Amino acid sequence: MKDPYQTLGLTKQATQEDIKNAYRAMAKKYHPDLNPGNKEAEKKFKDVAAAYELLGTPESRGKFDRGETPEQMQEQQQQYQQQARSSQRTGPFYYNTQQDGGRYSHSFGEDVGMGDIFENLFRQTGRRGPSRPQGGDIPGEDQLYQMEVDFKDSILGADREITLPTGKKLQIKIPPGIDTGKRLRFRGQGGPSAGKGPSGDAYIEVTVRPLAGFRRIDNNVESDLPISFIEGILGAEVQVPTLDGSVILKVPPGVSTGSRLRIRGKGVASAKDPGDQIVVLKVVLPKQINPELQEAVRAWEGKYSYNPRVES
Amino acid sequence: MKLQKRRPLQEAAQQSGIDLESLLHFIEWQWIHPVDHTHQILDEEDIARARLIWQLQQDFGVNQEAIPIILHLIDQLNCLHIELKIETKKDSTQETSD
Repeated sequence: MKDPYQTLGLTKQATQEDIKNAYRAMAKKYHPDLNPGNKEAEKKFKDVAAAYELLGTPESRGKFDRGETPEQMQEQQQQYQQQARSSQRTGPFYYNTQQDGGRYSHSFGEDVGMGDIFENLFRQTGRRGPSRPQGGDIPGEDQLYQMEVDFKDSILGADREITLPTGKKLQIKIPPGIDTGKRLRFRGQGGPSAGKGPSGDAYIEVTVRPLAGFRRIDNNVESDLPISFIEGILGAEVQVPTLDGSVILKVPPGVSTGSRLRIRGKGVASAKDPGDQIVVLKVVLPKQINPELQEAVRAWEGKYSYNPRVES
Repeated sequence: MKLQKRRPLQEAAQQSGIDLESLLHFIEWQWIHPVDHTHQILDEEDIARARLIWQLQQDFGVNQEAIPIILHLIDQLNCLHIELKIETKKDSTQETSD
């Protein structure tokens, strides 16, 4: 991966004005909307945009320039690569939205009789022009909206009422185990037909809001549980939060960081394939080691010491 | 046709990084035509078009008078591109069946 100065064809000595001018010149040349369908231009534009994000303001440039240690430079490179990858984070380019029957290009073609132009053009070569769909009692259009769902609701399921931006209210049954990207369909709740056709459908695409401390792995829920080294040696009964209240978990003696304990039935509340909660243990030492504790450990060190780096 | 996500104006502004006032101007000047004008709801096409306008203005320094001309040319380019693709596809189908 090139460094951002190189991407913009500049050196570190470039002024802020040079950076802006280089960006403008290259962005104009490679912008995907001015190079429809040219993947190479799109890639170059993304690289140039990511480079400009790093160097475009004196503040961001200062941050980049100050990272002189190899670790910081590596971190910056990673950040740069990530930016290059995520410059589409805010959505597709306009050109991409017009390729599969985009409204703007479609209505433009109709307004200026683009179909007729092609009709005439291809008639000369004995070919037919493109056909356009005819109106009538066509069904109303399907509409797609987005909804954020709490992590807990995505695992346990829930009944919710939402209001669409159009003001229409919908009762939603969130099925347990729903994941980001899944769509719920509401028949007949989309756009009305212009004629006597049926209304379209409304689709709600779900995005699950993450919950700190919990992760979903298939139908299970995974959470971390810090324990003291004393609890790890002696075993203990510890209170563990689950998505529907706390439970007491029996930690057996001799567990280590990374040991996994299962709480049955606390994962996805699916009747067909219910999940569990997997608790991943993490042995944590006290933040400050008390001299008395050190003394006590020293006393039994000779008798009970072991080497965890050797398989027993 | 691909189903596109719809967002109310405020959310569209957040997603695109364009301030709400500018988005309202784009609509007022008819540079974008929201998919649901009554409820001011934008789809991905509207948002991508708004972002293109924003880039033209902010990054390329294009002035207000030139924006509709550029949009017109880009729409023309896209439209021709699509029509050409349809024709090319028809042609190759005909050749295969001949």
